Amino acid sequence: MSAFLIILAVGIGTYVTRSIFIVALANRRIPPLVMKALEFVAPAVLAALVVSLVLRPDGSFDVGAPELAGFVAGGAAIYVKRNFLLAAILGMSAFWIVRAIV
Amino acid sequence: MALNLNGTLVRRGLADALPLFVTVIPFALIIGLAVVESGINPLVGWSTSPLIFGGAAQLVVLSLIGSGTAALAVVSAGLVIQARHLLYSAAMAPVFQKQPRWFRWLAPYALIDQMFALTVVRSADDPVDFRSYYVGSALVYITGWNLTTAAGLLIGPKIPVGWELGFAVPLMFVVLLILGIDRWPKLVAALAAAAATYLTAGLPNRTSLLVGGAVGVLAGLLAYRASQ
Repeated sequence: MSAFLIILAVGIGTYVTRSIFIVALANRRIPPLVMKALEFVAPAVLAALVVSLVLRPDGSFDVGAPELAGFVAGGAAIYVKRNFLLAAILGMSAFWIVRAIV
Repeated sequence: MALNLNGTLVRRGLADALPLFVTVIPFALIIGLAVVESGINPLVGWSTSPLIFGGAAQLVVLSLIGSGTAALAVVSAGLVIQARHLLYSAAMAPVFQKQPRWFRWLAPYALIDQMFALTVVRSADDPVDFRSYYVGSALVYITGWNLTTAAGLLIGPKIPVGWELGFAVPLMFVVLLILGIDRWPKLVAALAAAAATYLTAGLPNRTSLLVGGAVGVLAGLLAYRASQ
């Protein structure tokens, strides 16, 4: 399947997730357990993603001091200030600074 | 099809969404950069912006296609990330019952995280006011996101390799992750997902991503039950 078809499939699927209750199922009630489970999808998948991005094929972690510094600085910034711009700047700066030192 | 909008509320939507949008500009630039790094045709890669219109899912799809992951695994990983929109859709359904049919079909296209956050608090507004505010803020995000990701595509290749800007991609995922953890069961979900992904990393086609996601959701539910 070409890259465009993959993207199109995810795009159509995304529209369905955003529209389904608004367009089609307004009067249906969703089971509370399903609603609860949906809340945990984002943290679970994002955490899984981070791990798979920093793992080398041989199973060892591809994270050194610069990456760790970047994650901590960016993470602290978003936790305290809820600001993407600040988190990106601080995270990348910490990454660059530690990389220059070590 | 009369739009029937209240200009004051459209402008308020624009004004509220703009500062919020500015904070995601670096993220949009990173998407452009991820397109370049993935090696996909730039226009096809950029089409994730109008078609998927969701930063985290776009990054996932682009980086997985770039690493040669099987199509089915890419689509399922992308859709798993987008599943949270079912929550928004369900939460907004009663509000949209008061809206005309054309708006019920078009508006969900723009129901991204920030739009939900901005508009859910206006659920009790007069339907015309609600629609106007929604249109105003949606315009900011739709035009802003498509333009800034395109800018990232043009700026990306000009950035020296030595800057290692590629680190911005996992950095943004960590930032998104931390932003979403507001209760401890979510932290449990994240930690369990990370551990499960690590333990199953040997599985083909990044299946470990889905295993990790499923284990994380289950762990989150159990932690929530335990906290009740």
